[in-house]
Amino acid sequence: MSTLTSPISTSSRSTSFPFPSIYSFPPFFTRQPNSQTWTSQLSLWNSLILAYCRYNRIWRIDLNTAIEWDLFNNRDISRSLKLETCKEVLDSMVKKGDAEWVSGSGSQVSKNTSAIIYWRRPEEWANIIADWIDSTGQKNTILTLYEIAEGDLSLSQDFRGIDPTILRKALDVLIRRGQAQIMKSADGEEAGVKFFGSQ
Amino acid sequence: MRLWNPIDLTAAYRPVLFIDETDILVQNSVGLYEGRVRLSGYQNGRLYLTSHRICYVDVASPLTNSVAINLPDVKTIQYTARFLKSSPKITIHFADTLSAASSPISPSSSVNGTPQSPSPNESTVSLPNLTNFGALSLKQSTSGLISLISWICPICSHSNNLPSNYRPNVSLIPPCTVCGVKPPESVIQDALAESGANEMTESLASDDSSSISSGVEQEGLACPKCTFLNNSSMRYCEICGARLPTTAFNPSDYVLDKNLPRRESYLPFKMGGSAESSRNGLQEELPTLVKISFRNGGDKAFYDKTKEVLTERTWLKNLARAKQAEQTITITKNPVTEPIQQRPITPSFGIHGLQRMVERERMHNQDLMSSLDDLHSLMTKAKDMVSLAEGFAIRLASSPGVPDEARRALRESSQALSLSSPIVTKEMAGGGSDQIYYGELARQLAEFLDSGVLKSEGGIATLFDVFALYNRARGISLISPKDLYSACSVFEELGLPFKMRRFKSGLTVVQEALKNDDITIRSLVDWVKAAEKKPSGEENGVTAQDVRQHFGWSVGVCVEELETAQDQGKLCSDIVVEGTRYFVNAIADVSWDWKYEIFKEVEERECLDAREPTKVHPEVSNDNPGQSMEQVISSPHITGGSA
Repeated sequence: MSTLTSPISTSSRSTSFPFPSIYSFPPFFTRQPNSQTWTSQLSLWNSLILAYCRYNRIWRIDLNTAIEWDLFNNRDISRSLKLETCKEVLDSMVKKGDAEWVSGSGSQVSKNTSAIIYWRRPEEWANIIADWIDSTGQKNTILTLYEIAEGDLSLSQDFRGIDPTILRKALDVLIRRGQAQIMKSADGEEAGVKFFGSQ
Repeated sequence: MRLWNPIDLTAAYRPVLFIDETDILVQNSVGLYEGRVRLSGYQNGRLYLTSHRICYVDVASPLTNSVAINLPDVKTIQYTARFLKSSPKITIHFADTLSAASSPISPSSSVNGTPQSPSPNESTVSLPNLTNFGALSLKQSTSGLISLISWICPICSHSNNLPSNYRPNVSLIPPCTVCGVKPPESVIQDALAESGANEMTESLASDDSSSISSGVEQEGLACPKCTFLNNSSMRYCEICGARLPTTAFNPSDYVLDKNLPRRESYLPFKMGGSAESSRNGLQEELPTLVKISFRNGGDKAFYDKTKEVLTERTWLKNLARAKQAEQTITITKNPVTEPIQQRPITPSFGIHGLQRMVERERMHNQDLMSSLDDLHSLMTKAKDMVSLAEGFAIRLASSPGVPDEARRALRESSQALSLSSPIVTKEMAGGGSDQIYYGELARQLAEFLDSGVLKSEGGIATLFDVFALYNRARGISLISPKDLYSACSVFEELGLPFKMRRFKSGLTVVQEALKNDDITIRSLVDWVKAAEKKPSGEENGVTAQDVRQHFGWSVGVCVEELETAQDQGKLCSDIVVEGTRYFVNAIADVSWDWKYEIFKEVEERECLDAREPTKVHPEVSNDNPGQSMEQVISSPHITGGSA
């Protein structure tokens, strides 16, 4: 993986993502006109994006930059996915619940260019975080959101560096389950989260 | 000599023309009559007027019910305009030899005509042989096809014959042949009853019928009421109107007929007037005649043209020319057929051979020069040019050492030079409906395509290509694209082995009717499967160009076929700047379990690590902050997600 195409500079994987064989099939990068073929092409792209993001620990895709990644560019066969096709793929992922559009600065133009990729659903993250709280004995303590994502204790965790939006959604799940509670500071800002033991 | 002659048909059911014969006019929806009798099975067909013949091609069963009248046999033609319900007709009277042969009264003339007179079982029977064998054959030809039951039209008092296939209460009542008005059913029933009664009495007297008939023929029939000596052909007394004993009619003969082998010839039988006349000596003044009924107009034009052709008598000229041509052909053929192995350049021997060769060369040069004088003379000489080209082709084909390319070029050029049959023009349809013209055009197109043109186009040709190829072959009086389109759209209607097909994009092609899309697509996909893997250095996949090279279709057709296959999900495309490449659809049937395939290793490790979770975690959290990402991922805590 060249540094140019590296999606995240922090990733220090020694081996690059093992692309499946379909990735070397030139028509895979062309939007197929036949609807049936297109459906299976979409699901293949869906899987590929999820796998790639998980492998490289990518939380969001911003299409303006992501279109340059080797995920969408096979330089060996010099094929690349077009931006509009890429959007269609993400659209279908959003429909399936594997991704979610995030409105960047709120303007219409930047809408639908950036998406959160749920290579794990918020519910799954909630379970993982709850387990982690359990096993590290942090029940009934108050943690800031930053501590969960970037703290020393979460260094080896899967959710290390988790996107705040995803983390918030995962915490919402825990709150609904009654396993956590958001603590607000005096000025009304969310300061931290308190975990209760899971029953 | 006979009235009806068999004809050969092309694959498109057009008559095969003789050398020098040309098509002049076509008319559809015509029926044939012999004398006054409708010939069943010959009532809906196309009529072709050529320079030599009038050909009838039946629509329903063209292979069996198609006949021709040779124009040289025709004496005169007569035109009958539409009258009430009866369609306009052209009556064809045949030349004397014919009528003489069929006329029973003048044995001498039939003897004179013996060289031409037919074998006994042919349609026209000479009566002098009306002893056992002749009589049998005569009845054989009339048997079963015509009943001699007649009825009198209450409107015009014309005596009509009931059609052979008439079944009481089942068939429609036939209209009067003269005024076209249908009689009330009672008239027919009366006639049937009457004839039934007569047959009974006649069959009783059948023993000596033959002797009676021969006697009566000479003397006429005495009326049982008033004793007037009627002509033997009369069925009712001319004076008092009483029914005459019809001794000529003998039902027992019909029984006998059934045991005889039926004539398997596909010519209509000589029936009605002539058969009867030969028996009864009737219609001496009315020789054999044939009527053609025009149910769909075009009668007048046909009549005029036929008249023209008859006065021109082109066959006589052509006969002379054909003889000439034969001579030249034998000359040109000599060098070809004679052994070329010796020395291909000198086919004949000695000075005489050289002379002949020079002479021949000179003739060819003359042909070439004179034909290039102006276009018109080229067109008139076209036929000679083609035969010359064919001569060259034969010579080329039989001589070794000629490059294939030259051979192919010559073949193609001679193919493009002219059509095998005279061109179909709008005039041929006689100014009638366009439908006739398009039908004929479609037939000729089919013949043209069938002659290898479509094959060289890979079995599918765009309408543009067909237009260009066909018009080039026509040479003169080109057809318009609209004509071509209309002609092609009736292919299937006419049962021709081609069809027009429109692709999704609107591209229209002509292809063999048998090749349906599925077969084409399947062969295409099979080929793509084998061809998409290219040697290293080249891009995989096939382009429309590759398809064109393999299948011989034009590029437009290739693209359409590829896209059709793609629409069916059999192929998928790879669109890049350089063009579109096609692959067998591997996308549709690939399933990829990414979680397993990529993170399989992870899950295995998870299982191992899960055994000693307490050990791992303190390590991870305290001592090893700079752990690599692999280890991060392999931590047991993702179990909840991936398990």
